[in-house]
Amino acid sequence: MTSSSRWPRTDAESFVEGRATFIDDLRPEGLAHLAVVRSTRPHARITGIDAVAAKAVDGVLRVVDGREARLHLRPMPYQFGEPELIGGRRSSLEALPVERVRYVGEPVAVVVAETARAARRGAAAVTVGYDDLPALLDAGPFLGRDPLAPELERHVIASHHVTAGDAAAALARAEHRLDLTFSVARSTTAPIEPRGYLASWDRAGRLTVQASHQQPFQLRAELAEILGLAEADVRVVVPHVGGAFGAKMTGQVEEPLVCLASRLCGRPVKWIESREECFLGGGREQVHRLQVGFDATGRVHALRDDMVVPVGAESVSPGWRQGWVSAASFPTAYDVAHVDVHSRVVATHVPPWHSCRGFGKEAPIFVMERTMDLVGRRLGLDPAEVRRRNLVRPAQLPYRTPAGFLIDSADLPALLDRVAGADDDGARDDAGTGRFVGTGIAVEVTPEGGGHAAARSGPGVPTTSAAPESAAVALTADGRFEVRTGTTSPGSGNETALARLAADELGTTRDAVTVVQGDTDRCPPGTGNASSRAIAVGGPAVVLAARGLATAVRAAAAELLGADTDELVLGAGAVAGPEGQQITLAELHRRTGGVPACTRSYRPEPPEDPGYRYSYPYFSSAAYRARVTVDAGTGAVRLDALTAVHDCGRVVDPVLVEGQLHGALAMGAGLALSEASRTDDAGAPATRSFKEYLVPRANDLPEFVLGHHETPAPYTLLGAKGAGEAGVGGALAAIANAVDDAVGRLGGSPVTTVPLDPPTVLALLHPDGDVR
Amino acid sequence: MTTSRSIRLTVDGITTDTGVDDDETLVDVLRDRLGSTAVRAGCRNGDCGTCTAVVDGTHLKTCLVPAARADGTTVGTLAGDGSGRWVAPLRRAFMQEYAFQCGFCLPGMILSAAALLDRDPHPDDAAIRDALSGNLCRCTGYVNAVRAVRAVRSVGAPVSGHD
Repeated sequence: MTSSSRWPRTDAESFVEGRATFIDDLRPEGLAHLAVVRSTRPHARITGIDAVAAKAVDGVLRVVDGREARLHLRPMPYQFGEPELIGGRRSSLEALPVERVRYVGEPVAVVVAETARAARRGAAAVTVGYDDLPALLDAGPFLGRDPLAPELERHVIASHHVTAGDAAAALARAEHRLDLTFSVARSTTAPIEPRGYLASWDRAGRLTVQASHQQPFQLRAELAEILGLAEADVRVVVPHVGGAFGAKMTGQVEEPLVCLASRLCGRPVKWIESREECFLGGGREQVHRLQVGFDATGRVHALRDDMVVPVGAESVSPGWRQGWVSAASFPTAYDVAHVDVHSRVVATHVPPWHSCRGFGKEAPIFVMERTMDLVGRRLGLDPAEVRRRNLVRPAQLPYRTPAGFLIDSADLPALLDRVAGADDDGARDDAGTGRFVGTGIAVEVTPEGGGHAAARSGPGVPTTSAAPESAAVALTADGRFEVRTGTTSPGSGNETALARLAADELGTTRDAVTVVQGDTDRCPPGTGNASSRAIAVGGPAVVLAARGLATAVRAAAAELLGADTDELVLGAGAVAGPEGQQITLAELHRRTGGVPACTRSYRPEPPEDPGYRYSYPYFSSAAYRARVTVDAGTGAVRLDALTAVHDCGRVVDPVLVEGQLHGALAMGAGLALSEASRTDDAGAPATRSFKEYLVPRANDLPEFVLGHHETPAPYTLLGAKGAGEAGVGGALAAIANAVDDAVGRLGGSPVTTVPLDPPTVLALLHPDGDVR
Repeated sequence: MTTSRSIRLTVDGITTDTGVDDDETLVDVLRDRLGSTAVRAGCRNGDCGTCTAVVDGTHLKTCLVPAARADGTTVGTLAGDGSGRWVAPLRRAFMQEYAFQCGFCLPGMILSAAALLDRDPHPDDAAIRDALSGNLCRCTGYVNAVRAVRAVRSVGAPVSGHD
């Protein structure tokens, strides 16, 4: 370790002393507050908005509805690349609707007031008239491939078909075949800090937005377009972010509305999402109807799947793309010759999807890992053995998947072997107390680094390429270094790893390096925090920039010392030569008037292949083993052990990587056992607080056991892959398999849905409905 | 805005009189009127625990306390030194064990751990997990927070940093 820092995190002290600044801690002079009036109907025509009572509320400054907003705001542009590339339609929406609401919770007006409480009172006093329209709450009718009636067809945002070989023929000749249905409940991100934005305009008409956000540069571009400004007239600054997990990406309608409210009121305006509002967003929900064909040895030859992905109301956020990533992720870690996955992404009248950690890759892991267990059970094969016979083998790498993803590196059988016998503490069933032990395993590959629009190329098919990251590294007047990067941290600590990478190139320790992130005026452009890119792609940009600066500093010192650049060494705080000549960096800065900052961009370098578009450039992988206790009387499941062996290529900072994995495992455990965003029969969200949406608490989880297995990523400079997304799907699948193990021995039905909350487990144990 | 009454609070050693409305909760008065941002609002519903402070020696979720009821109390937050002898070693242990990521839940995590150690200086792991169960964390899976409390439990005195 090159760092002399005392703590694993560079900026730890400001947090433990309670000094770290989050968006809601910012209170500029003259601050006003915004609250949102939201639809109470899932689908309705707006017949009128009456704000008279709201304007009379003490402290209310202004009420803005859709008719007024449309005078000032251009439509919100689609926020995530080219939807046409993945068979989707391009949405463009107004920030506030004028004619029609499309989900309970859709913003219909905003209220600005002197205090947040006055704004909320004002919002509650706005009366909206509705004329109800038919609401689509159930995507069931979309399952299958039959042509849809026109009134259903217009709900299909995207349709996907991922194929390899001839699945129909292979299924017809398969020795064994299973027909299976799986479903995954809608769930959400639920960062402990909700979203928040603070906008202000200066006299020259320049907009500054402070935001709890993952993508400052994307937000800048979005706001410039909606508000009709040059990008140079928008500055986005991101304070400390209290967790994000996808929720804080661009495309949320409150982003431009806060800016508009500030312009109309001539004051800084802030909006902080309430917890109830935070629970509107979600993702991950899908239904699969699957046929799998295999032989007597357990080798799977064919997989056919019909999927429906209900993504809530159409929006401009990255949300529905996760449906494509789900379809494209099959058959996950396995080598299956004949694949036919058909998927419909369907707009419904519930709140729109936002990005959720895992970005669509997690549900396919659940589906494939459950399928592998059921194939093994049919043949009497051990779960590890049936996987061993089907995993993509190291000799097959790089491995092209049916969707055109290129799995770059992995040793999946080795990962599996390391978890297959883990954590057996001798726990056994106890029929007396009705507690039954189950174990389950799972194998996961996680496409990372951006590039999900991979596909076979062909005439007329546009090509795609890697998104770069950039960094600038400078020597400061006091002889320290400053790294400015276009990647951001949602609270993951990646700034510490970036400081460490820069320090290694600059012959110093990470204490001498300050990392600046999340400021569009100061940092070079980048993608912020998405697709596990900060270290694997952002890291090389920092390394290259630091390397360039080190050379420039040594050259400047050579001139001052009258020495040869090649014989000078950049060390802690100084440049030194072989004959004892030396100059401190502060002195060098003073005498040269400063060395120009070095800026570099980096993009991953997978091999060119004219037959395919750009793929995700690196794939982390992992294997998992979970042990649970199922209480047969109550249906309650206790997670007793969870082991993960993770391959994220070169580990830059093990403490940070393990932290990412811990968080992902906890989220996967929540998805497996308790987390579900439910809607009532009228389309209203029924999970509106942490009392209904059950995030794992400290006493719900065991101490996770982690191992690392490094296969370096061949197509990135550092050999690093991502950390942060892997673990969600793996934990979800291993825990579901563990519950199935226990339930199966008790004669229950196979696990085909998550979360496995007590009513669901009781229903599995008593398929006849006779729960005594 | 009109205020309906004046209350006196001593927060991290500083005594202030402030007007409050009847419907204001302590978390909002601490943050909005007194600028005490080491108390955070995560749910305003008593679920997440990041608004935890020590009110007259008792660890409370301040989003559940009507501000007027807190008149005359002494409030300790994570930012102050007056929240008990366990806070300093817990701060160091949370840094050493990398027991937080985004840090938003930290005020509640550390103060709840301190309350546990006040009651029981040598808790077992299950007691540590129970004591932290009122504080939601979405980043870490709690593994390192449990380790941090364990480190303080074993030493019972300030632990040093590591390199």
